[in-house]
Amino acid sequence: MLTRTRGKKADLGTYKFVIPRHSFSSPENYVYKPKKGLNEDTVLTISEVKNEPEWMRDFRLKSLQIFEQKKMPDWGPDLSRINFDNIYYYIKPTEKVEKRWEDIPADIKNTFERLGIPRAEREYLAGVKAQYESEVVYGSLLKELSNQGVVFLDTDSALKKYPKFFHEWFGKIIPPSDNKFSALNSAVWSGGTFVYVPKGVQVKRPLQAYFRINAKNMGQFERTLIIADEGSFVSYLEGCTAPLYSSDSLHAAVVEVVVKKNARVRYTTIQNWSGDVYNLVTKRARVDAGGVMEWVDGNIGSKVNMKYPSCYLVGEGARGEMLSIAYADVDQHQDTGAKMIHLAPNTSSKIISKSIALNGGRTSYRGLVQISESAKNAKSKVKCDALILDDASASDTFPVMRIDESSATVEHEATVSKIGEERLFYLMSRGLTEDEAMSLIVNGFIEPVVKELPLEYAVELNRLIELGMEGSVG
Amino acid sequence: MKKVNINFNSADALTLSPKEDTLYNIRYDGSKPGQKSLVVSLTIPNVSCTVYFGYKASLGTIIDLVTTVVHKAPYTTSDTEIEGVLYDGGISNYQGKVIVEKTARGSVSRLEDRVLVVGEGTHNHAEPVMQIETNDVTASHASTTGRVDENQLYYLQSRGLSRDESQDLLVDAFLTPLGV
Repeated sequence: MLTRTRGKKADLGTYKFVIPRHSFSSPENYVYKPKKGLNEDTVLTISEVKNEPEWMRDFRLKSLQIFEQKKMPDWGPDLSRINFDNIYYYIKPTEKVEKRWEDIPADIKNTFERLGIPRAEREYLAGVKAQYESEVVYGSLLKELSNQGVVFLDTDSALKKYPKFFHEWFGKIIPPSDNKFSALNSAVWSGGTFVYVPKGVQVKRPLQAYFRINAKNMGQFERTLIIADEGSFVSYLEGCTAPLYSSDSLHAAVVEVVVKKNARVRYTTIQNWSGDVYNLVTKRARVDAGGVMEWVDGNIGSKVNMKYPSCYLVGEGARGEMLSIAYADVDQHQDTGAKMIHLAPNTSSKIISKSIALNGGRTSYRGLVQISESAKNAKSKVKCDALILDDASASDTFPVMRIDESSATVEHEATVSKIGEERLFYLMSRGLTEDEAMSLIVNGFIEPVVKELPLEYAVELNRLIELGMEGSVG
Repeated sequence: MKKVNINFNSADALTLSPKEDTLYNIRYDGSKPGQKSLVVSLTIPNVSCTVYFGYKASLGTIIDLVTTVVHKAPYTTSDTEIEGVLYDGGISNYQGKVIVEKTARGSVSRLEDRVLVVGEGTHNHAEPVMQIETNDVTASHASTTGRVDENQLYYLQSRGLSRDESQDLLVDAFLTPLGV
């Protein structure tokens, strides 16, 4: 293990050790890897290695203090097994952001290729950012986008190149004091994506990022900031898969989205962390007048997932939407939901949540619809449906509605059920096996969300769920 | 089905554990402040329980209501309907919990909480919670908040009623579930 003392320049010699191969994991091969654990030194080291401006270093240090003061949430899933001292807070896989695919180290390439990720999609998508460990190693951006003035960068480089945006918006949508994990992220953040879309620009093809955790006990604390200027449109996609490891990992990202007047942003996530990851993510959008924010969220992996993307509808006529799927298999707890905060007149929101629990998994919907007194004629609609496939599994619903405006219209409905015997019987009478019939029904159940996904994501999601359901009948 | 009428104005807490299929019709005018707690416990297999709960809240009235429906026995059915009317300045805090325990296979549960807003400056906070521990179950809840339908008001006024009379009539209709 490479160690260093404060104040000295880091020795960036290649450090290598090989761990036994599990599933997809590649041997860990890192340029620089600080010690486990979190303290002021860790934070200063990260800031120093990244050669950050002073204000960012101070922001990190202040966030660390807030993190230490904040209590763990006293509600929701059990987080008592997270040991903050047993986590690597920063790993830099290669020294600089790679621009050409050919330059990417072979073992990193291998892992990506086994998952079948970017090569085929490269030509199809506008730009590919792949986050391997804590830093973006591969980035490409089509010329037409940069000609339009669109910025699509990893957050670290963007901080250096576009400090103006960071002074204006970084940590403003989600302040470090929001919750314990946003404070943690603010202290040790690394990597993530920065997107800026100028006024009136419509980005035709989706921007994509791919995140992976590959080192044992590694925390990923990426930080994403998306700014859509007036009248613009952008669709951003992120997907995660991770190889299986036996000890617990932590992923605490912060995603801030700024939707200016009449702009529209769609943020799509497919989360498929391995079964030992705690995924504790804070995602929030601020939506100005006439703007539209759409979250599309697929949660398939991780051990414990707590994620409640939210929309602050601050301008007149702003709209927020959430479409989500949660899939909880053995030993998984998917605690997901959405928050819609209506702060201006004629704002509207819609939440559609679908969840599936099987093999002892647990799904929870936890949501908030808040209509403040000034939000005249606000409208909100919430629909959550849960399927429980066997009697070892469970599901909860915790919706909260705070309606402080008399002219608001709010609807909420939720159902929990199993797969109907008669439907299974019908499909089996047409020649399907019980497995096939079940996965067909489940695919139909999540269809309203899947149809909103780009084709390759929809295919991947359906395939993942089919794989998960194999042999689940019994 | 047995029918029971209950006035909830004087009591603070109420526990119902029906032995046979029962319909409870509960009224509450919010005149006595403090939290009201209603517990429905279904411990006998195959028993079905229907609860209609109606309340009105105007300025100075704070409705603070907690209902808990627990399915313990198999093949039990619960249908809970909470109907509230909020006049000027009316405040409602409602927490509705449905728990289907592992032992309650084959249960059917429905919870509906509907609030009609008549006045201005109202506050309506609702938390309908479901906790389902078994798969052989049909559970649902629904919650709505909205104003009196303008078209219905217009229709009644066109038949010669004043706006206030029309509104009172619609409020009465809202609070009177079918079959009670």
